[in-house]
Amino acid sequence: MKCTVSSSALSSSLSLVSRAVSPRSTLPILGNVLVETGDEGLRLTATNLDLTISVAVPAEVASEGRTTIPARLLTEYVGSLLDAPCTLELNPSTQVLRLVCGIHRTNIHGIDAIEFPPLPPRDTGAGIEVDGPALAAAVTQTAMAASGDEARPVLTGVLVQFDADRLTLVATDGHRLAVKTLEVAGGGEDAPTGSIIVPARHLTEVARAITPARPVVRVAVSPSRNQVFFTMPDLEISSRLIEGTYPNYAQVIPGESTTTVTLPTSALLRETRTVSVLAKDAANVVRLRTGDGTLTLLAQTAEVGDDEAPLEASVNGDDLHIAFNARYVLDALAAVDSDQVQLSFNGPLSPGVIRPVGTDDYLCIIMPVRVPM
Amino acid sequence: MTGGDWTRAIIHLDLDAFYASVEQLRRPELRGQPVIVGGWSDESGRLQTARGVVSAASYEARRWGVRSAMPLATALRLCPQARVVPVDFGAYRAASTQVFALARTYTPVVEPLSLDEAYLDVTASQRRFGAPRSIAAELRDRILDTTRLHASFGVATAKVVAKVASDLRKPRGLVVVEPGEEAAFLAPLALRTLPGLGPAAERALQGLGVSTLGQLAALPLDVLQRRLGQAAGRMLWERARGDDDSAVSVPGRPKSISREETFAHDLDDDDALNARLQELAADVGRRLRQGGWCARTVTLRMRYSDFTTLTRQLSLPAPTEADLAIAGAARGLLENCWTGSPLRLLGVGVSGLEDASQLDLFARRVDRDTRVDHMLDQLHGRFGHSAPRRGAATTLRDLDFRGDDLRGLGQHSADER
Repeated sequence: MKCTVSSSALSSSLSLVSRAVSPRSTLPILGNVLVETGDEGLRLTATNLDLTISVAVPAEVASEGRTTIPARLLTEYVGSLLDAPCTLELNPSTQVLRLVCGIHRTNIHGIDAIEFPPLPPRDTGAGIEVDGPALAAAVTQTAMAASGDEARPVLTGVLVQFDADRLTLVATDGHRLAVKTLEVAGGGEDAPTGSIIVPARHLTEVARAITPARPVVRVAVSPSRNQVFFTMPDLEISSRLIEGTYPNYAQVIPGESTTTVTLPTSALLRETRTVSVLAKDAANVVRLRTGDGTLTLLAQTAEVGDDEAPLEASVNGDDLHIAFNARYVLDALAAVDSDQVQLSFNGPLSPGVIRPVGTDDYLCIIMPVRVPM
Repeated sequence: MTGGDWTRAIIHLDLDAFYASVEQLRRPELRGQPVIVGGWSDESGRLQTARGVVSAASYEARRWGVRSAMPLATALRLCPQARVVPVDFGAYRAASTQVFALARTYTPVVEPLSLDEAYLDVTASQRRFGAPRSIAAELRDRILDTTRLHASFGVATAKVVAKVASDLRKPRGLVVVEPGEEAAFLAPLALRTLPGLGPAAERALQGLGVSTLGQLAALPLDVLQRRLGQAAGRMLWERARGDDDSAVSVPGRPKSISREETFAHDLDDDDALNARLQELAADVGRRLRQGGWCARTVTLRMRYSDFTTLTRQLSLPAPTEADLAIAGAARGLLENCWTGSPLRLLGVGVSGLEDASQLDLFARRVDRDTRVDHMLDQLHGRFGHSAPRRGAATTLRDLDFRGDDLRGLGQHSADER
């Protein structure tokens, strides 16, 4: 194998695929990145067996070949090179990759590519095309609500639901829930149906990989429904799916509310963040109290101090005193992309709903904290 | 004496032979008798003394050398005529609540140390209620009128001096140490009268030729610190001169809550252990809910017959105040570390207490359990230990509504078949 590639292109591609490298795997080969020549130039692939990321780097290929190289070493090394053409040449008998770039003459020991785990079969299943930036935004707006607790694996994923002209993303950790709907062009016969559960962490890698150069993402599900593929012109990310039954999220979305509050998103976000400083040692609990034309934020930590901040707001309905984990409120407000935000409540022990004003494609539900009032 | 000298005024209140006095009050036949509180009633109401210790002794019993924490068997050898009554914390807690409520009519700053002991900061109460001595005397009379219990009082400018003073003329004592007199008051007293000075420190000090608090206070600080360590040396040196500015602190959220039980007979039966564990978890859960707290960590403590003691902890994914969640975590810990050998003690505790509990979106079942906990709490408030408990916490005693044992009957009918 011999080819020439730009060191900066190689570097950015390496940092992309190395997201799939498991840092502490018991299988040493999983710490390596597969480097191989192909039709598009050079292809880099890394996998932790659950998540596989493969990217094509434009390259002049002089001779074909493949090997695997320790991912962290190669990523750090190439990342520190000045931008210049870089020649890669493999000695197949020793599996030593020789890199020549600028003043450097470098040899790195690899492991034969035969050792690399077989990759999931390429995207052949039913798929639809989705606007890249819109998908990235939808992932960011929902994945934050997924659980980090492996005890309930289903909740560590994002539910992706395929409908005729819509894609719905849902995530919940049992304390809060985020739902985002995306319009999609009809996928026709080929479109996937039903729903799948994708690990939230893997979806976040998809969102991270989406750039203006990758405006469209094809989302496809393997025929056996155990893999999902996100395909972009030069990049493919595949993830195992989480098996299990997702909780019936629709039933916890309240239909009506007894109190609604509307106010500027940025002001509420900023002031909640400020008030929450005084809540850090009190389970991060921020209280909300509605009054005539005001929403008052309160935080109190015994023997530390307290804060009370009245905000001007349009308030309708019953007076309310409710408490939330400030982090959930901040995550939800950061995900709201409109100038005004609406909060709606049904008393202090029922879920609160946060939604943007002007669109109905997103909502976030937060379960309150019961506090001694 | 003028009240103006009292820039800080602290009263230490100590009820005299408290548990025994409560028992003598409610059972007139025990009055004037040596009474030992200890042991427990078994299922048939018989008093078990085999492995108990003395929880408290009346002054009549103390005259025979009976002391708290002494094995019951030893106490009964010293005082064979003593009347032994089982511990009834419910009754003591009720009396204690009454006494502390009276104390709080003089100052909100009351720090209970146990059921029978508390510090009161009455510095700000002087303008309304007069000099500290008269506050203590008035409180003493009102406690006696209301509860018929006797107490001893120490009045001083510092907690440690007040405590030493209340101990000096027990029972029914009232000792006032005037401001400025602290060091002189302490000086002639024996080392062991100082709280925090135990047998080890006493031996170390006797090695230095020190036998009174005055001699201790006269030692150069660095000599003391070399002998007892930096912190302990300084603490005892300051206390011995009556120098203690620690505040009377009104209790807030505790750091942990725990309950443990030493069994009458060592247990190795899984079902029986599970029932005890559920009961302990329910007690802990009830105290959590009373305080309006929830906890992040559950602790299981177990002691084998040979006194090997194990403590294991588990952090919960979310803080809880639910009996079932506490019991479930404790059960998991028991399954993980119990060898199957007989246990003599089991304890369940929680720590990492928080004021708030995060509600769950999908928790229909949890909601139901929460309501059950709440109902059981209310029943416990009305009926105490005889209140219903969750199924697994009750060993099936096969008693009918009159309390007759149906177990024998069941065996009988089985024999007939």
